[in-house]
Amino acid sequence: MATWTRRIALGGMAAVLVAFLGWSVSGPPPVGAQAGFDWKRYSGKQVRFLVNSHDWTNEIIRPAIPEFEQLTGIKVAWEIFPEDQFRQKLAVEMVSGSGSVDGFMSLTSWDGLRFLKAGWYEPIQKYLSNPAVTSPQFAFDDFFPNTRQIATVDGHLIGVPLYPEVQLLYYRKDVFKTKNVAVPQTMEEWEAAAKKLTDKSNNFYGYVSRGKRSAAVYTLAPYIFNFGGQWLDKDHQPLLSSPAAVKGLETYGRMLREYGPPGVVNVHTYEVVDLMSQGRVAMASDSSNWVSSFENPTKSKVAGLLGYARIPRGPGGSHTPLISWAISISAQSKNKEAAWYFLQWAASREMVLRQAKAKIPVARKSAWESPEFQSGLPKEWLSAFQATLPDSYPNQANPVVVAVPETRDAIGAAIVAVIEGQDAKDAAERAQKSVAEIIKKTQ
Amino acid sequence: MAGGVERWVERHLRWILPAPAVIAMALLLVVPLVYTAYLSLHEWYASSVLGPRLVWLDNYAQLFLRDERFWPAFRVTLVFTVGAVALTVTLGLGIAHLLIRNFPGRGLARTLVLLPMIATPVAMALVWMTMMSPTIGVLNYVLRSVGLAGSAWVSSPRSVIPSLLLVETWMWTPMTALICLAGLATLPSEPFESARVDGASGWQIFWHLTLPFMRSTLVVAALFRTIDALKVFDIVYVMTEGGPGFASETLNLYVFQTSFKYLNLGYASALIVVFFTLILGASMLLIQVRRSPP
Repeated sequence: MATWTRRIALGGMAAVLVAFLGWSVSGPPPVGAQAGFDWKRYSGKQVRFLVNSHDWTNEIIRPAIPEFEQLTGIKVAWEIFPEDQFRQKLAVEMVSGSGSVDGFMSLTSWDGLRFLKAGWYEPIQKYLSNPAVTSPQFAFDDFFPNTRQIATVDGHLIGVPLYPEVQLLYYRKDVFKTKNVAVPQTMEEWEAAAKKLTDKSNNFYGYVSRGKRSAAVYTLAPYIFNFGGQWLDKDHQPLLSSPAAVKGLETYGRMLREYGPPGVVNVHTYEVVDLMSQGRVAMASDSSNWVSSFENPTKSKVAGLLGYARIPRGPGGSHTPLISWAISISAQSKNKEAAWYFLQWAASREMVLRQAKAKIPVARKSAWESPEFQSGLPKEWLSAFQATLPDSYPNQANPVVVAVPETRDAIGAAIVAVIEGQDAKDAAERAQKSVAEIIKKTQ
Repeated sequence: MAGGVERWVERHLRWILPAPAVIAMALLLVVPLVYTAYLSLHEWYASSVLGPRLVWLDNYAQLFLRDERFWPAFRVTLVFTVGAVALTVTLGLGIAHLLIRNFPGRGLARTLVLLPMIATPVAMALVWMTMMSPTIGVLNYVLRSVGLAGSAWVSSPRSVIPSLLLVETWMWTPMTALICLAGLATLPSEPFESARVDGASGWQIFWHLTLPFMRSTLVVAALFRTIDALKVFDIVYVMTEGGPGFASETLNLYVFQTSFKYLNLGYASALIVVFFTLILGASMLLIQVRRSPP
C-alpha cells in the first residue's frame, strides 16, 4: 500500500512538473509532447544502453535524459565508453547473454555484419510500422534516404542513424589563388594540382590523407570507387585486384608518396587535421566532420582560409563512403518497446534539431535545413556535403564483412607498401588473397 | 578430540601455513594458463554466439606455416630484444661506473638519471612521438639546424626499430644502471687495490676484475631486461601500433590485436602459448648462464 501511494504521489508530482515545464517554456514545445500518442505506456520500465563516447552521447543526450524520464516514466542508464573499450564491454555482455543490455550503438560499416550475424540486433521495422508504439511525429522518411541505408545491414533495418559523414576535399583557397590553381574536378586535375602546390624546400606539401595502415582504408575508398571499382562483388568476394582497385591504390599511394608530407605512413586522421590546421599542406581529403576543427581559430591557423569541395571524379564518377554510428535495440532485451521509445525520442525531430544547433551533422532533412544548422557553417561545406550525399555509398568505408579489423589491416598493409614504393598490382594481389581467406574463415 | 586436531595441525604445520599462498598462486597462475592452452586448441570468436569449436592443432599449424604476420613479428621481437638488452646493459654499466665515483652533486646526478624510468611510459611515448614527427617534430628541427638531413624516425619501416630502441634505451637504461650500481658497491676492494699496485691499466682492471665480479649482477640485469623487452607493448602501441605496415609489430602487439581488436580468442591463445614458451625459454637460458661457472 505504502509503495503504491508513494508511486502515485511521485507520478502526480512528475505530471505536474511536466505540465509546468510544457507551459512555462516558450518557443518549441518539449520533445514529444504531442497529443494522441501515449508516451507513458511503458512507465516504470528501466532500460540500459551501452554507447560510444562522442559529442552526441556526452553533450546532447546525456544532459537531456531527465527530460525523457519525465516524459515517459522510463528510467535510463546511459553508459558511455571510449570506442575500443566500448566494443570489448559490449562483446562481453552480449556473449554472456544475460539480457542486461537493452540497446547499444554501433558503427555499421565496422560492426554491422558481425553484430547481425551474432544476432545482437533487434530489427526495428515492426516497431516503426506499429502506430501503437511509434509516434506519428517520428517521421522516419524525414531522414535522408541514403542515411537510412546506413542502418540497413544485409537488408535488415537495425536501428536509427545518428551523425552521418562523407568525405570531402579540403583545400587552401589562399594558396590556390597565389599559385593560380583551380579547384580540381577530376582525378588527373587533382594529381596535377597536388604536384603544382608541393614545395618541399619550404616544408609545404600538396596533398595529405591517411597513410596509417588500418585508418587509410577509409580514405582510399573514393579512389577505388572513382576509378569504377568496388570492395566486394555480389557474392561477398573481394575485388581488390580488379583493374579499378589497382589503379585506385596506385594513384592514392603515388599522390601520398610524391606530394604528401614525409612520414605519411604514420598519418592517421588526427595528423591530417594537424597538418592542415598548421598550414603545412594545400589539400586534404578526409571525413566531412573536421570542419569545426578547421574553422576554430583557437585550434587552426587556417580558419577562414579553407575551401570545401567534392572529391574529384574519375571514370566511375565521384563516390565516397557514407558512414554513421547508429543506435539499436538489443535482441536480448526484455524491454524492447521501452528501448524503442528511447530510440525514437533520441532521434526525434526536436532532439536532432538540438544536435544540429551544436553543429553535429544530422541525418534528418528538417534539421539539416534548419537555419540553426545552416548558419555558422561554411556555405561551401554545406553544398559540398549535400552534393556528395546522394552519390555516396552507405557503409562502404571498407569491405562490409564480419571481420572488419583484420580485413582493414590486410588492405592497409597494401596501402603502406604502395606508399613505400612497392608495385601496386603485387600489393593488391596479396591483399586480395588475405581478405579472401579472412572472409572464408569468418563467414 | 580437540587435542587430536591440534596435534594434527601441529604436525603438519609446514604444509598448512603456506597452503593459502600456494592455493592462491595456483588459482591465479595455473588455472589461466591451462585454460589458455585449452582455448588454443579451439576456434572461438568473442563476438560469436557459438561456443568454442575444437580444432586441435589447427591454430598452431596456421601460425607456424601459413600466418604472414607471425614470423615477421617473431623476428621484430627478437631484434628488438637483443638490441634493447645489449644497449641498456652496456650503457647501464657505463653510467653506473660514472655514478659510483665521488664527485660533488653525486646524489643529484643519481636522482636525475632515474627520472626516465619513473615517468609514465605512455606519456613519455607520446612526447617522443611528437618529437619524432618528421614535419613538425623538434628532433628533425635540431638535425636540420646543424646541417644534417632529417630522419623519418618511426614513420619509415627502415628507421622504425632503431627509433623505438632509442626510446626503450632512454627509458630503461636507468634500471640497469641502478642494478649495476648496487653490484659495483658490493665489490671487494682488495683485488682492485692489489691490481693497481701491480700496475694494471684501467682497461685491464675492468676486463679482468670488474666484469668477472659483476657477472651475476649483469646476468640479473639482462634477465630483467630480456623479459621486459620480449613483452614490450606500451611504447610500440602508442608510437606506431605496429606500423608502418607491420614493420614494428611485436608478438605481444600481435596477440593484443588478435584478441582485443579481432576478438579471435582461440587463435590469440595459441599465440600466447608460443609467446609464453619463448619467454620461459629465454629466462631459463639466462638463469642457466648465471649458475654455470665462468
